[in-house]
Amino acid sequence: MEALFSILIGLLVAAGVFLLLSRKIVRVVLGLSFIGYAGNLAILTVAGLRQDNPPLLTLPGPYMDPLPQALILTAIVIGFATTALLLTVALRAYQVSGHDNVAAFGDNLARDPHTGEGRSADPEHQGPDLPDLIHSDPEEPERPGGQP
Amino acid sequence: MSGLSWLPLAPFVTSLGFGLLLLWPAGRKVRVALSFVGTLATLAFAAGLLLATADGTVLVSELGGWRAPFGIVMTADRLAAWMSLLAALSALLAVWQAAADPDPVREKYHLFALMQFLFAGVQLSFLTGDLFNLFVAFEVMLVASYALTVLGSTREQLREGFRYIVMNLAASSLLVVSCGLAYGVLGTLNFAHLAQRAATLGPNATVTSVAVLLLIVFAAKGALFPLGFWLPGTYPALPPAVGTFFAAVLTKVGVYALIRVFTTVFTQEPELPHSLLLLLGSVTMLYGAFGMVSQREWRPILSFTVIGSVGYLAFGLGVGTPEAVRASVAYLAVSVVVTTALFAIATVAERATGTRLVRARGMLEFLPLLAACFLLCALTVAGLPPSGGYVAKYALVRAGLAQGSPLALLAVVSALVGSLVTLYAMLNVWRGFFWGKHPTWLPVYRVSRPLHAAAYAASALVAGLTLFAGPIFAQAGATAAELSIPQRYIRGVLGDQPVVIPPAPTGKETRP
Repeated sequence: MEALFSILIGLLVAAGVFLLLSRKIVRVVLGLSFIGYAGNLAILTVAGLRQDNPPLLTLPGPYMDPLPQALILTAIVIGFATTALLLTVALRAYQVSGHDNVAAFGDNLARDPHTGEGRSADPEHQGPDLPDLIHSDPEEPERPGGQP
Repeated sequence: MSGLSWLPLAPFVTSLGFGLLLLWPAGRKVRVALSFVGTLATLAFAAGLLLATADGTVLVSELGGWRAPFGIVMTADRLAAWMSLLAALSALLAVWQAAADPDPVREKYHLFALMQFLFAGVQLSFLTGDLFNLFVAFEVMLVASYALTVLGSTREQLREGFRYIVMNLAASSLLVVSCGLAYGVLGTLNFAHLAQRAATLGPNATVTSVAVLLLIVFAAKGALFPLGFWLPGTYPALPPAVGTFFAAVLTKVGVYALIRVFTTVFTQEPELPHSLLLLLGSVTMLYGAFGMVSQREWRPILSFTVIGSVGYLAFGLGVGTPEAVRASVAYLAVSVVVTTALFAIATVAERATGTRLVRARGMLEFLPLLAACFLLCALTVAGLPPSGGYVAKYALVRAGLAQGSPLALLAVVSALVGSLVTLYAMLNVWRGFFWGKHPTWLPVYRVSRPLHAAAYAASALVAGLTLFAGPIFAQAGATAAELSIPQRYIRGVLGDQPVVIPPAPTGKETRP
């Protein structure tokens, strides 16, 4: 049983790392959730996979150790929250940059030949009227190879 | 325990409570006042912790009244109280900067409340006595920091924020796995109980590998060399007040966790983690120093000083002797205070010239007091004599030489080279920004007086590092002495009686 779980965890981590290395933001998010699930299964496995009674004292023993399950519950809740937050950031980045490709995260998120200068993907959701903190250098050279 | 057992919980609860209060829609003045009151109260509680632990007491708050290895506990020894105080000081200066620098859009989206949540997470990570609770504390801190990183959603913030979030989520899942492994091997998660179990188990390869896994996680949080790539991009993208606190404190949380884990908890086989820390520390010191030379903008340069300082801290911890730990604990104070001051100065400098680049020249004429403050901070960062940085770095180098292993000598050489290059980089900033003749085409803007005042107050604290080097070193020495005998901490948390885990009930007891 433990061996099977170990292989499963290995597969999940492998899939997660593979997705994490891809260029699409959504795949990065999915990869992180896979790694998170692998972590949760790992806790369950190292603490011992036993088919004992649940830790309810009204049932006859022997009992499971309830702590790993409590840990996993906490980790799942936190994992959901952080994944939701990451998705929100990804959505905002998509609205600003116009595509869900990490390549657009080069040094100029919105200056992409396909979206056009300064045009965001979603005119309904413009950014709050915040200037970029202070522009680093006004006479910044054009990106080599960028379309005019 | 004594009547003070509520105290380790107080800084966290105060910050959290004021964070919730600040969600209430109110005017700017009310929010600023509430932020100040909350941060001052946290500072007062942290100072109280420092006083209460000054005689070597280990304060313990038992949540829900459960005794230590079974329930969640908050603990404060000298190290935790010290870190809590430093974080609260930096928090106060960050709130000051945020108050002095109105930012209507971000404030509408709860900048002040998020800052309080961040402070709460930081305090919780310093004062928790439990490995899994440390993970939770990290998440509280990191979720607030994610929100602050992307708040305002400028392009730079989104780009760097995404990188920061993905990096930290990956590190967090590794932390969950190491918590699970630690529980699987040792059957507990309480720091004191982990230490006790590891000591009875003796040198053990599995325990050491869990410790090394934790080292990797905390190295990622603390931005040690190969895992700190996200830092120089993220910190300059943040709004100034937030950036000040991030730079001063967030990496130190990782360093604190390293100190806690390798001096209190896993002390059985120290060679491997210590050599790893020395090696990574040496590379980090050089990386930070040369990174500084490679940058031309204010806050990227300063972000690399943050990385360099983590290298010095890892060096002290890697040497591992009580003198070295003492130097590290003292350097923690130097690093937190001087980073706060440098980022506050950078904010004023950027505002005064309207550019992030260090190229204005001749600003000495317009900002003489700021120039003096910068020179003081630059000397402290580089570690030259009339500064608190010199005392701490000298102690570090001396401890490294006294230990004398080849890796320690390598780290000493890196520390010296790193300091020299840091001095060069800082003098470059001085030459590029303050020295020379001001070009007439470059405008000089007025910067609000409170923003100036924040930079001066932070610099006054840097000066205080020199003036009070004696007391700081006395405190650091007491902390190191306490850390060198983990039994004190264990006894403080678990009590004098050995922990007896009752046999699992068979279920027959409750059956009719």
